[in-house]
Amino acid sequence: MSAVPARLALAYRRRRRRAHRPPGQLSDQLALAYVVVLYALILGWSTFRTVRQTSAAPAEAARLAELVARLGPAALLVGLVAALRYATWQGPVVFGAADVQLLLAAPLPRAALVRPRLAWGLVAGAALGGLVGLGAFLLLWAELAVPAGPLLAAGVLGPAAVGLLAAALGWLVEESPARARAVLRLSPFALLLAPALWVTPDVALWSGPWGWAVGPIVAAAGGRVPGWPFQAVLLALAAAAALTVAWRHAGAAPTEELARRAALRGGVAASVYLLDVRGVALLRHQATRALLGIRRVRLRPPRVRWLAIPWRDVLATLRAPGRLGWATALAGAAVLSAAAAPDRRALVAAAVLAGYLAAGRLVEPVRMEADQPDAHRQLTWRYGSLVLQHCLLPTAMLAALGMLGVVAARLTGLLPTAARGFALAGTLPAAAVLVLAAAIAGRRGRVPVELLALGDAGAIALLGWIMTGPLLAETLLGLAIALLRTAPTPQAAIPTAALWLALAVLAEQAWLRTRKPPS
Amino acid sequence: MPLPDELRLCGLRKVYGDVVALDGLDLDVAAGQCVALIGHNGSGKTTAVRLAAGQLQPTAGTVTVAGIDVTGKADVPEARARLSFVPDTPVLYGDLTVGEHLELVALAHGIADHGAERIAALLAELGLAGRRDFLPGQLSRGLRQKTQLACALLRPFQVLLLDEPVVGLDPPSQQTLRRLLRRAAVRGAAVVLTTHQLGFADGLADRAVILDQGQVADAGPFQRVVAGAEAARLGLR
Repeated sequence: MSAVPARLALAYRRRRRRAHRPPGQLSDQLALAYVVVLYALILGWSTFRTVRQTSAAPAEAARLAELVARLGPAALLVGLVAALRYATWQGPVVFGAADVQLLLAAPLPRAALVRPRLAWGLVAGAALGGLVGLGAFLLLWAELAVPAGPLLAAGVLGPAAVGLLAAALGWLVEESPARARAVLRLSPFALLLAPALWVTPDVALWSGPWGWAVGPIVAAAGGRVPGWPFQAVLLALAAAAALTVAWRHAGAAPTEELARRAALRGGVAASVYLLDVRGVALLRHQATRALLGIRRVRLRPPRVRWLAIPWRDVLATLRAPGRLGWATALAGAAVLSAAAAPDRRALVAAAVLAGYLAAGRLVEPVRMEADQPDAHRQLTWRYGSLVLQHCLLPTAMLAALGMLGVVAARLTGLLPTAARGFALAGTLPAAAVLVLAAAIAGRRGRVPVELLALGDAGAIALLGWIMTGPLLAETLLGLAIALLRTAPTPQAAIPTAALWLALAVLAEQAWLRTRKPPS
Repeated sequence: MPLPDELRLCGLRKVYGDVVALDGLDLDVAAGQCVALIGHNGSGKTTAVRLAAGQLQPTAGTVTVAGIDVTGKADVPEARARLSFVPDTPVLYGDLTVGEHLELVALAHGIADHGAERIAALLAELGLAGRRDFLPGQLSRGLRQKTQLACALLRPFQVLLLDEPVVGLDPPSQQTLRRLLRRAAVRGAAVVLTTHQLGFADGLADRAVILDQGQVADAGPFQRVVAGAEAARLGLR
């Protein structure tokens, strides 16, 4: 017996799927795509108009080009690492459970079954990279008076090539559990490279594909990058090489790996459809545990009661140190972006969002309480008080990370000496505001999908539910930043901003303290 | 002269993190033999058949199907062509009918030319003839299980692995399945099944292997093992 051509079986599968498609499904999908594109265009244009201030002065333009050289490689490295981590539990090729049972178990050449999906995965990777690049192009074009053509080409093609590279490498991770384990173990360390890339932009631009993609963008944005065409060639060669290797290894994935991903696919799709980010995160944790097992870290329990929850949170951090790695990268990016261009609204807003996301990584124990609301009944604290105790360690860690970011910003010359003390002092209240905002969002538990039954109003309410944390962080910190920016000198506004932050922290604490566990 | 072993598992071990799911399973199943894997939940039965089916990669040990060593190899179509596996939960396409599932399996195994009669016969034997055009969502759990069994039995195989095949089946359907499995063994297939229901395996299985916490507690002729001290100790009978 020999392998059977896969073409016939796949064609039959496609044909029957089409035959069973409910009438009008295709037109419904096209209508949905039309609405999504329309909303994206409207939202994109209004954002563009909001962001577009007067074109930056030459000095400011040079500063922005330098910011791109610092931020771009770090951001692309983080994106690449995220794509590789995604490939440890899903990835560019994910079969359904029935595919595993009926098609992968048949004597069909595995490569023939994998390649159509791999091709889609590669296209999706390139498209996602291109979209990110398009967003970066719009932000830069809004700020800089440079020709749009070269900036658009460099802005879209470079990140698209990195997306393609990420998808191809993702498949190589997917087909090898040993590589998947290595990615999970090493990626937090790779993330620590991100701040180093920020500090040394000249090295960063040549340090790998993440830098090679950014060099041409910096050149098109008016920066000086000798050898950017060579970087473009290097990037194209790297992407082509990864693509070739991935294509050749299409048949090399063990069934166990494909089955593991297939088993999670249904849950992931349902969670994504319901915008249930927490559901996705829990599935990811489950997959990670299957690969790595549970880290057996022990920590002697404290003797005093008030240290019990921080002890439990330290233990959680030690057992999942990747969270701290992500928080470090995000907090570093937040501080350095804000220090680099404190007058650019878009960047400051992005910095606050990055800070909020860093806080979100650190308040995982709060979410764990919300996942099992009855568990807290074993303890003596009320739910609100328990959640507040879970915020102590994250606040301290985020403040420490913020201080490290301030020191890095000072060392790289992004932060004037005069602002150093003020920036260091601001990290603790800013961290408290961000962590409490993340806890307010995280303590609510899973997405209330019942809102979807209310139609459009429910969808808007659901969007509001999801955006509560980021909006709270942007509002509370954004107002403090606005107070500093609108004052004749920042020093003059410090008392008002400090008072505002103190009030914000007290209000967030009071709100959290009175919360009950999610039903 | 004894028949060659169609399925050979040597020193099979599977570890998840710190948990040893299966530890050192040796099992040879010759053509025409039927072996029942018995044990409590978590004893390693499902892990054993999934390892044999190539759905899991062993941490140690080897798996040989019809003389082909498939250990650690991702793509061995020759072995897959000889091995059929029925998982413990029905896994079907939501958008294919019962009949279309069987047609797809026939195509994927290169037997479409002479598959139509076989499909009709299997559907009739399993009581699915009247539901040929039903989608899985319109079927009960038992009927979905029968559809999955039909898919596994339609294709050519030399080794048939079944994980808890009677779950969800009513007594008449269990009798039909016994008849089909016995027929497969008579035709020369090596059959391995896991079950909690000793009554189902009685008269069908030639041999039994009792697994306890991933290790073989007892193995041998079915009647001896079931009547043995280990089966009594574990409360299996």
